[in-house]
Amino acid sequence: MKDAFIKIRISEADKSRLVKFAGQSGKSASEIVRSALNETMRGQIAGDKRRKDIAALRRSTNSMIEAFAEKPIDVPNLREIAVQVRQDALRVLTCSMA
Amino acid sequence: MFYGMIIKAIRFRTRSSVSRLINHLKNGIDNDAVAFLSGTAADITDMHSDALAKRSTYSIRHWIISPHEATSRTQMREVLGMIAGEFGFDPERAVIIEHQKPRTTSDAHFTHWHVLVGEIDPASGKVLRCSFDRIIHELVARWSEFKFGHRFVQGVHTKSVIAGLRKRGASEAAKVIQRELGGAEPPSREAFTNAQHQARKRA
Repeated sequence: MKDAFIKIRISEADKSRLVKFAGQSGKSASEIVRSALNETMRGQIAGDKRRKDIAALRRSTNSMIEAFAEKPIDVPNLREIAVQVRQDALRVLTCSMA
Repeated sequence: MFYGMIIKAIRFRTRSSVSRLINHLKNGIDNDAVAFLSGTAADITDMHSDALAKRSTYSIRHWIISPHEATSRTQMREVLGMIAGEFGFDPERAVIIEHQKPRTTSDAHFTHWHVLVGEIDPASGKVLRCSFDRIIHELVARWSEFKFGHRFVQGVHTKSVIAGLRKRGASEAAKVIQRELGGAEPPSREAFTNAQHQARKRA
């Protein structure tokens, strides 16, 4: 039941961003604030998980570049890295769709 | 002088040349063998880029884990886990390079490890903790010596180390270190900094 009410002070610019984002995502400004509160309370600062997944993808891609530079190329190792890159990419996509 | 495990860290400046650091780490002249156990040189460059984007003064925390007695890779990873816990980072972020070279004393273990972690966490944008780092390095070194059954080294901050171990619930380690090192005089501090040491080597 949503019967409590709070008033928060934010800048005009932040208010405009909130209203604009709410319009784009088809949600009310209250829903966005409630969702941000839930995420923060769960210890998941908005965007952290996504950036962590992207950083992991960057790292596995670096491994792949390194493996290509080896002479001769260690094919089983390269395959293992490619599987890792795929897993990391899937994680980024899953995170984006959540 | 007898050395046990030495853990020290260098905070690499964003204005410094990262390629020079990478060259040093890949260098096979000073070292008989060099192996990347985790991560790549490109990961180190990325750490530097993250710090440049954030305009941070420091880009990379570079730990050197240098044991005097034989230490396995598993034990090294345990030490890394302790460092990660103390400074609040995910050990998966670390680039680990193993160097093997003859040591200045013949009985010393010939392997040491370089552990590099970005000062800026690419996920959260937060900067690595650095408070009381020297005391923490000494604490992790003494705690590791206790865990691995290595001989203890008299450090500069023994009193703080014992108090820190008690605070972390490692009362047995604290008791043993107190008994072994509690009464001894602390050694003198480093006579020269890492920067001075590297400059001498280049000269």
